[in-house]
Amino acid sequence: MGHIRLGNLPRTRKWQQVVALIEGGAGTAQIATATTTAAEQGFKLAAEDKGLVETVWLLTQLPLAARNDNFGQALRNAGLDVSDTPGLMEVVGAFSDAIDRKLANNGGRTDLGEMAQMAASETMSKIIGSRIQNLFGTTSDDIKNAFSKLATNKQFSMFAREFFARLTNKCLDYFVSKAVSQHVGEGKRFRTLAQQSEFTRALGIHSREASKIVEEFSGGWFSKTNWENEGISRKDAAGFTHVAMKKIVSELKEGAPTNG
Amino acid sequence: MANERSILCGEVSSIALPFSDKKPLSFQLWGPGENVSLCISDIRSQLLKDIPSSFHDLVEIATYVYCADQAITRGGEGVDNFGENWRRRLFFRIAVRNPDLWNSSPVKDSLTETLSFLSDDEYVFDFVKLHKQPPAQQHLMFDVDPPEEVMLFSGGLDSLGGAIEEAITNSRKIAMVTHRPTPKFNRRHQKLLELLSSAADHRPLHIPVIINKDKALGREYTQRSRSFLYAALGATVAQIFKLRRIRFYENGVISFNLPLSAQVVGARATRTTHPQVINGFAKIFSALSGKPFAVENPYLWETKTEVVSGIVKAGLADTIKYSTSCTHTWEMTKLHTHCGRCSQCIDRRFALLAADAQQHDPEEAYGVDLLVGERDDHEPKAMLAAYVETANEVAEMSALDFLGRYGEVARALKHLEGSPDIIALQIYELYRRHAKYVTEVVDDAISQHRSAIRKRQLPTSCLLQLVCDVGGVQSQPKGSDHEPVGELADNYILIKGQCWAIRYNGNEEKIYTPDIGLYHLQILLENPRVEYSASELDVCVRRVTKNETCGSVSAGESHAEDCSILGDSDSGHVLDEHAVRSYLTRLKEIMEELEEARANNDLSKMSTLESDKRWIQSELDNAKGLGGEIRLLGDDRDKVRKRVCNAIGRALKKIKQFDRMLAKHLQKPVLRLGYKLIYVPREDLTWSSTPTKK
Repeated sequence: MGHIRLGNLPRTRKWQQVVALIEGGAGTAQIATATTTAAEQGFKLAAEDKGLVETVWLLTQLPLAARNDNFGQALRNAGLDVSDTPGLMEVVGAFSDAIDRKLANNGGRTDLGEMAQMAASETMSKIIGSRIQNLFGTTSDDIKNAFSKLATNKQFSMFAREFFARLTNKCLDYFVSKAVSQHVGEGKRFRTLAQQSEFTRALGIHSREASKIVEEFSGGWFSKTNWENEGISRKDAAGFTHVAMKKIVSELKEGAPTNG
Repeated sequence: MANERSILCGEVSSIALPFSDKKPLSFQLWGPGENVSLCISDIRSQLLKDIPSSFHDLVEIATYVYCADQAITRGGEGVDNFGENWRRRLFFRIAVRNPDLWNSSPVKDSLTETLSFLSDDEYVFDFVKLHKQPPAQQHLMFDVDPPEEVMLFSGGLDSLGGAIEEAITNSRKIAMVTHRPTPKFNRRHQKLLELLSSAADHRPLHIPVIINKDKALGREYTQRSRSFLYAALGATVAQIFKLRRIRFYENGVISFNLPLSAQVVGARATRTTHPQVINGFAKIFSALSGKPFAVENPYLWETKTEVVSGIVKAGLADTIKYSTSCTHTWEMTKLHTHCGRCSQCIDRRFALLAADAQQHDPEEAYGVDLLVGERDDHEPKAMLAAYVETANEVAEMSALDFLGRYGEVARALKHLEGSPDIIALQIYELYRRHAKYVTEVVDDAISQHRSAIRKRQLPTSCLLQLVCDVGGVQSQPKGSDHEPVGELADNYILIKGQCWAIRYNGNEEKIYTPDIGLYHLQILLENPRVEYSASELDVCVRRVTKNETCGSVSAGESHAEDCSILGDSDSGHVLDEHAVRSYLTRLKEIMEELEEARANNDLSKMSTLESDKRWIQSELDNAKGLGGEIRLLGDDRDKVRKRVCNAIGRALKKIKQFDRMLAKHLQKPVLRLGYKLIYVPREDLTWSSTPTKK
């Protein structure tokens, strides 16, 4: 049991171009452009993706809940099954569980939504974890404070960018990893595993750069929508997701500067 | 939704199916249309009592789900729309003995929830009354000593470790339930049973179960629902013996199964013994039996290395060589019992080396040696690379990095007892230990083979070569004839391996897949302000591609002897003046002859003349272009122009995809196409066919 299999990219022209570029030594920006072009149809479905929209909506609810006097109750109102004084990993676990319940029996689940769910868990662990002194054993108040700080224009921008950068990286690597590992070894694009790893890291940096565009407008959107609508609905989150993904895809297709 | 199928199990109606499935799958466990055979008699023939009907249903449902899982494809390597065909919508209509129980909320909800997480599919069940029972079976009465524990026994290292711990270390009476997918395991399982029996106070009861199906029903290899069948068989045996628990023995790294690669999304990393699945099984079995029923994995916090150490410590190391971990059973031979390439073989061998138990696991049993064996490109190498690289990364990670890298950890937190913070930390520590074992094996191997590595005596595709960046003379990657030495030129266009490399204006080099238009472009860019006719350029490119050289072509070099260049003059009109005059004269004659034929009522001649008239008129009409003028002849010269310009156009389209700045530069009037082609850049812009400045 516990079997894993790794696959290849399909033998269609658009995907074989991605393979040829990897083999030919193209840089991460160009490979990201080719990959995004090949997968464009999938990216277009982002705004309709139940898992992705639910993830983004729940992410917007966390800072708002943390501004509430009763953090636990506010999280429960958003659908997170947590205690009155939740720790970080309790929130992270409940967050993931809430999305699973929303997509019960995999209705509407996609790989894109799945990657968004994972990216959100990772973003919370990394951002909140790095802001509290100790990842484990901190008080619920520490967690609440760390989340509540994300409700400002600037901090939400940074939070949103971190999430979309991780999601973008997962999306690109989802395809690229099917080809990259087959070009390792003597006489190949990557002579050693270390070189392959370096490439994967560069792809992550490129994803971060491409997601910079989200940082530019997400904070303003969050504050404005929350103020005008007295909260953020799933419909608001779907609209925001659509714009964010469209902008990122456009950046990737333009070949966002790696060192920008 | 594209990947939807209906599955009719037993004698059930095919009307009112939820999907427009023209040919639903049909499974029959007995009767004339039998295409699946469940050897449940293996259980029944050895035990004292009959199986409770709800558990009899359970095993049959699990069999149907398992068979459907293999019969319906997940779309192979498809990645379009983010692998939309991976998840399937499966509608099952199943005839059961207790439809009310199975249609009740706790049972059906637990079943769909657990299976959907286990296999990533969407399940819809419709349970109907089973009217026709299978033929009655004779139950043989064996004198079986009732077991105290039922465990699932695959014959791999983890379940072997569990059997040893239960039967030998703890002297318990155990029943080992095995789903045997192939008879190749028979002898090895028998040998394990002998060894266990000779060391145990109580001989373990071994219950192998075999499920066969028509070959045509085996289309999908992933088999994500297999552990449900396995658990259902175990729970049924436990129920017969009035036990309220079954145990899986699976090491924690495999149970959590965090993805080794970014392409492994969702249940592509199997969830066979994930805590959520284990809890789901317990819920289903509790609801079926009406009492709490536990499903446990005592090895959740152990690594495989630690399991192997336990086997050695128990004095049963000689059992190791009879255990089987390989999933490529079709490759299994008497000599090579393990392929050495699949994820299971890699995991097993690392664990045995890390536990210093390799003397009990013959090296010859592996098709490929883990450390120094030559591996094919594609999956074998990719799998090993992903496995080792993951361990490399995790070994260096802090807890924060780990949780910020593996979001899947969040999925387990709600399904384990204890503080989520502590559980997360335990998972991190488990993976760190595993990573440490793996990296130590690699480090030791490097140390042991350092001389061979330095002398480059090992196969280039083996693990040790992949992790060691040895110095000295290196063979270059494919197509690196132009590896830059010195300062890079701002503008170059050259062939690099199978592809083209173009750098413009000092920006990042871009790679392009092979395209004949890039040859044309190379000639034009390297010879600015030189006017080429399309045919001249065509000849140059033919010569270059024929010789398979990537050298540049200078102006004036194009008049190759073996290629003819078409002149600049055209071929005239489609019909010349003389032809048009002749046609018109003949047309006039025909009109006169027609009049005469009409007068004579000569129908035959009229018909012939009418036919000639129509043909001449069509020729004249076809020769006329817009405005009624006679067209020019579409000649070879025009064909060459189209061919060259189209090729350059395709190349420019590729360039536009990756380098908009260059694409913008190569517009009119800088690059002009047509019968005459010319590249006129600003004075100081030059192109090179080498990457470095001359």
